[in-house]
Amino acid sequence: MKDYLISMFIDDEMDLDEKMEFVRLIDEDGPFKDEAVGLLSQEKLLRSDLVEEAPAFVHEGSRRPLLPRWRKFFLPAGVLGSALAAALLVVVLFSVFTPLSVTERPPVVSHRFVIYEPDASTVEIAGSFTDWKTLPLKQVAESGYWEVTLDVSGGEHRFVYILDGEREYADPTVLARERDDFGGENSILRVGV
Amino acid sequence: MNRGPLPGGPSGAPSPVPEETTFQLGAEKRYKSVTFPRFIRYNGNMGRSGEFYREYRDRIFSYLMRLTGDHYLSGDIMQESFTRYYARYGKGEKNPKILYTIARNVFIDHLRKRKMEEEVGEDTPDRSEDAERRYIVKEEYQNVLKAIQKLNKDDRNILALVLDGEFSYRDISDMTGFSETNVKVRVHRARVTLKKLMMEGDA
Repeated sequence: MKDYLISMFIDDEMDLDEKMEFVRLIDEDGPFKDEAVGLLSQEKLLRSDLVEEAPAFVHEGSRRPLLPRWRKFFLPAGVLGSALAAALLVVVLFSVFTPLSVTERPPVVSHRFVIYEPDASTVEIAGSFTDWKTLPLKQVAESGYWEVTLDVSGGEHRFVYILDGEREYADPTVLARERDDFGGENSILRVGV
Repeated sequence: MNRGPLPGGPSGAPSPVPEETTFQLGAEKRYKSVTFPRFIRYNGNMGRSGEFYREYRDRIFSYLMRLTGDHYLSGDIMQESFTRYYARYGKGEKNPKILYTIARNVFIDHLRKRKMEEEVGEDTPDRSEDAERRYIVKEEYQNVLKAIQKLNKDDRNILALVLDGEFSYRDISDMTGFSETNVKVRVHRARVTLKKLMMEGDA
């Protein structure tokens, strides 16, 4: 039987003659068509995403809800009403929440990365905020400290230091870490949230 | 603070490629002092290595899950595959056919080793630790995976390669040694068998 034509159809492996044969069979052969439809729906399932990423295991506490949700509860009635509502919102914000950005766009923050590595001859950093390309750190005089300041967009990031171009090293001062797929560890940085 | 001796020279010169070591199931983290693929320098082209890893990491994990049905094992094999790939083929154009072929070979090595261990009567190592796996297999896919594991090894491998979406029957023929015609027949047979298995599963 020419049933394997169905798989060739699914896998885009047909030449013109085979395509013609396939179309003819779909038209003339009921069971063939049913089988084709059945295998096509199965294929959708087989090709669907198998895995999803697990959330990183983080030592810090869970996130607080973003501010914008609160806006719904402060419907202004008239100009005075809205001024009052706005003032009320501000008071509530400052008393209940630590200062958070009210906009929904993640802010860009300047973050200073510092590490103490007196024995290293080069220190670089790579992370999700550098697209995993390495950037060099500069030595701070003769102190043994290395530093770089980078603009980091708000949210959660992963990064590591690389010592002497060879060894990956998570930040010893940052508690939040996750394992990567190679038995090493990334540090997790959260900014602007 | 875990810091072993630094491999290679202190500055500038890229380190020699890490020696290939035997794959061990459940081994403690052995890669700490190895330069991980995303930072390996080949022809001074670190960006490309990182991209290859990032592009294929999820896909090869999915391929391995379909091939092995084992979450933990798939992670280990993926790790080993990238390491072997970079050790031998890191220079030059990235070749996914080689990566997937290596992954299958690592799986075969693992099966062989496990068979030997069983014959000798060794305990298989405890895999229950490492709960922080990065990936979760989706609920709806669990049944699919169970059914795929019932296919014979070769058909399973061929189907897993087809499902990746990137390889033609011709590519798969190159990678497995089966003729194109044989690949075509096996893919179809695998699909039909799966359909039967999944229907039986629901009954």
